Amino acid sequence: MKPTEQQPALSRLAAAFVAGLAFMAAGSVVALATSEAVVLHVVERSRLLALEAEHPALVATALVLLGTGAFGLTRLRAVGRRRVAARAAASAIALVALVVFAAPAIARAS
Amino acid sequence: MTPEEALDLLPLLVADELDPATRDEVQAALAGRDVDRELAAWEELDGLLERGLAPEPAAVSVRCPFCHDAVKGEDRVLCAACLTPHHRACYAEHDGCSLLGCPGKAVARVSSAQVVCRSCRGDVPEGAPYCPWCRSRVVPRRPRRMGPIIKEAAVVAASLLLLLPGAAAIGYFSERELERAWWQSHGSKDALAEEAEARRVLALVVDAQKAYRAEGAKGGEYAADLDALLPILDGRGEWRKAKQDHWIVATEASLSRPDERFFATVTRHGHGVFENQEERVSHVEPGVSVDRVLCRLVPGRGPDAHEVLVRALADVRQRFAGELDRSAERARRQEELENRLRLRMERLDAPSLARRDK
Repeated sequence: MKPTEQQPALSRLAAAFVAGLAFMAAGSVVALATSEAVVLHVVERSRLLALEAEHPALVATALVLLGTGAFGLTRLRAVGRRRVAARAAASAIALVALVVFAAPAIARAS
Repeated sequence: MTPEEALDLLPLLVADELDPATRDEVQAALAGRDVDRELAAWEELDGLLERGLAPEPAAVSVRCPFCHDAVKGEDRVLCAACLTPHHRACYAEHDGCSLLGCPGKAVARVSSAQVVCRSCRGDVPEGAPYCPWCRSRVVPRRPRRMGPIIKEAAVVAASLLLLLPGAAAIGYFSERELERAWWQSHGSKDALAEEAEARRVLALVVDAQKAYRAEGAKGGEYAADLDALLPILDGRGEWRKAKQDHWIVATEASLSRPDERFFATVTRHGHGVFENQEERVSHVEPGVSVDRVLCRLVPGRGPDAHEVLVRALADVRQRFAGELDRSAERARRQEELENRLRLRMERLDAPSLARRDK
């Protein structure tokens, strides 16, 4: 029988990083939703930003769930292909969180 | 079943001597309790007992029955029929199991074994009734206990509770900081550009009103509305360049003195009202716009537009009241000045008049 693998500290750190990134993006969405009218100047420039401004609660909740999922995914005691799939999913979540966080800044800069 | 009763039944649980219903009850009673150490001790004891009580295998041993050497290392096989260990070479040379009376020709797949013997920790093929290395009975593996799962879930939940507020706060404040920086660098520029454009539009309207009066189209009066000025304004290049859909422009001659005064207002929805009071463009109040037809302030689309309108109107009244006061003060001073001048003139004139009288 293959012994249970110990999860390396780096993997736990990566899980916390990805989850933190998603939670950070959720916080930024809340900031956008409660911001002054300033965001209205740039909201038309990006469809993603329009979605964030229109459904902030939905987007923030989805990000929190994704972050929690990422935390769970990298703690998964899996081997081989399942572990690779979990890592790919965590990377995708990190990418989505980054895009959501950076969208307002990109819209303002454009 | 109480946890104490369940603990008493722990040896039977380890030895798999309980019926399924009782086993479930014991597992439920022990859920959440840390009994790993006791379970391990009982399992070890159970394994030792089974090994000691197991009948000594007569035909099977850890020596190869073909060459009688010890079976060690990886190059070994088990007979699929009687689980007797052989050297791989011996098994191949004999073309099957060399145990007397065993018809086995196939080899058990040790590499795919899913069970570890609790007594000797040796690999056991899945489904085998006893360990081929120590001959102890193999107990099927039971599902994992809930204790470690609950502990793991608690650790994850605590980590998330620590991580979530901190990370969300970082995101919140960084986004606010980015927005503030952007507004400081761009927002003021936009406001200045908007005010400059409002000034230009207002200047155009003022020039058009003056031109209208100079033409004498209405007996030397200023135009009553913007439509009357459009023929003049359309001839100006700057008016054509201005974003006319961007602004709401309203102008009208004074009702009391249409030949001396007029009012002009430039508005942009949601961005306040710019007007030409006292020779300057002033930002009256956001959320208020001007009705182009009626030429008066109307509330914007904001939620507190009515309040804003009331405040704006009060502000306008106050400003007009101040202007009236200033007019009255100016008139009083003018009168006083004229009186003084007349007195001085009279004083100056008095000697000359007296001389002339003489």
